[in-house]
Amino acid sequence: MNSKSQELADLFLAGNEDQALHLVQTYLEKHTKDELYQLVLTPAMYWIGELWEKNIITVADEHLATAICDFVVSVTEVRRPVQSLQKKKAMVLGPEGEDHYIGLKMVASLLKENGWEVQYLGPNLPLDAAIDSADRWKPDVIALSAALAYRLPVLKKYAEAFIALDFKPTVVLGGRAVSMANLPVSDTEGIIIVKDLDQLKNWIQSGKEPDNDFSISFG
Amino acid sequence: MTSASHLDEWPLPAFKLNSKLAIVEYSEEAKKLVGDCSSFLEILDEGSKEKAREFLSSDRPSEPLELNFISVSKELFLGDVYSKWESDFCLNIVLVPKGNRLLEITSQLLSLRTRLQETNYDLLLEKERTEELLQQVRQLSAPCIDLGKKHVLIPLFGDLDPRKIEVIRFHILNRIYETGAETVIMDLTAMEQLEQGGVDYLESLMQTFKVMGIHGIVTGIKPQHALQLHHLKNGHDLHFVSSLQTVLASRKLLL
Repeated sequence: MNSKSQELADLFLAGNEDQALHLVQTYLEKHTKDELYQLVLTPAMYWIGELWEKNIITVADEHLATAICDFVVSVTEVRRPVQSLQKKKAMVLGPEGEDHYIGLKMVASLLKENGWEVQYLGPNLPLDAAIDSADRWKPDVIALSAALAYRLPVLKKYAEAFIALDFKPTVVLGGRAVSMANLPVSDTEGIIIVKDLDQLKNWIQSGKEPDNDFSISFG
Repeated sequence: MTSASHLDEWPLPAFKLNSKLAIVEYSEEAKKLVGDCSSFLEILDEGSKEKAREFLSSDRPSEPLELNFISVSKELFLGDVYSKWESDFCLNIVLVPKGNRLLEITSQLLSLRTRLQETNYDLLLEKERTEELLQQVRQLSAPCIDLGKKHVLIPLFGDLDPRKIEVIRFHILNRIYETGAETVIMDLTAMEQLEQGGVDYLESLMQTFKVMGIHGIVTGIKPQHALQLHHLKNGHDLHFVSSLQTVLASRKLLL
């Protein structure tokens, strides 16, 4: 992990929102938002997760860090709608039981910056409610993420339910669990797997599926 | 497991585990909380199993170990585990469930902050809207009325400040050019406050008229404006008339 992420993780854990915001804004003077998300925030939050596994911090610390990170992401988000001729629609959510949502926010922000219309439904969303929203709004893309590996079966269940919808949305799966999974290669039409935000961005801009040497079986 | 465990009297959930983390004995409180089970790992959330295995197996100094448990009613709860190896085969464990209060407060604070952030943004939007409206008001506060006979009347409304003149200047000059007017009557009857900056701008506007070969007349000056405006006359081809009616009558512009 780089020193910026380390520094930021410490500020998040200390609940120091002013300095965290200052660090991020200074970083943004010379870097893009994508770089901030991909190279600084993501490693910082992964590191905080590891600290809990190492019994160095508590869940309360994690929650505080998440709240500060959320604040920083919200402040730096582009609020003005980006002009775009044909607006594509994306729905962003986390499956039931999954409370990690910073990744979802970053995905929503990335999509918005690329001219997409985004509905951010947040984490821990029951499948029924998700299907209901999807049916009403009919998004082109439904993006899902999971942080913990044992959530992959739930993610699979959601993905399968979404691709079965009659308006055939594309389902994008991401998150730490997905990027760390190392399962046999298999392709299911309509499901895109992105290892990180960079791959998501490439997919948004080129429409080409990421060429990963791993994949998750949804056969 | 003995039916009357000597752990039963313990006020907190307590367990005795063997070296494979199988539950050998547990207290009444423990049973109430997590129900019947044979292995300690069984009562843990997936994400906590590896952590428990790693930390409980080694005899590290007893920092409390934070783990997620599954209750008898299948709900997740967070707890601190205090452990001590009695022998190589026997691990004593006390579980201290953590209230969710702290996490609730954290999320309440977060939602409050989010609301502030939203309000902040809404206010920003409102401010931008107000600016736009103000801009519109400024533009509308100087209509150019074509009186015929190459005369244009511009009644100025509201306060005269530099920003207003800046906004209306382009619009006025364009209109005058389009109508081919030779005389512009600026009527200040509906003018309220006159800022010094506004007076300076007015002067430069008059200067521009002169360059365009247009005769400027200022009418409707109130006594309180007179003091600020009197120097305008210096060196300019300007004409002050007390009332608009006088000008219109003298130029036979009245019906």
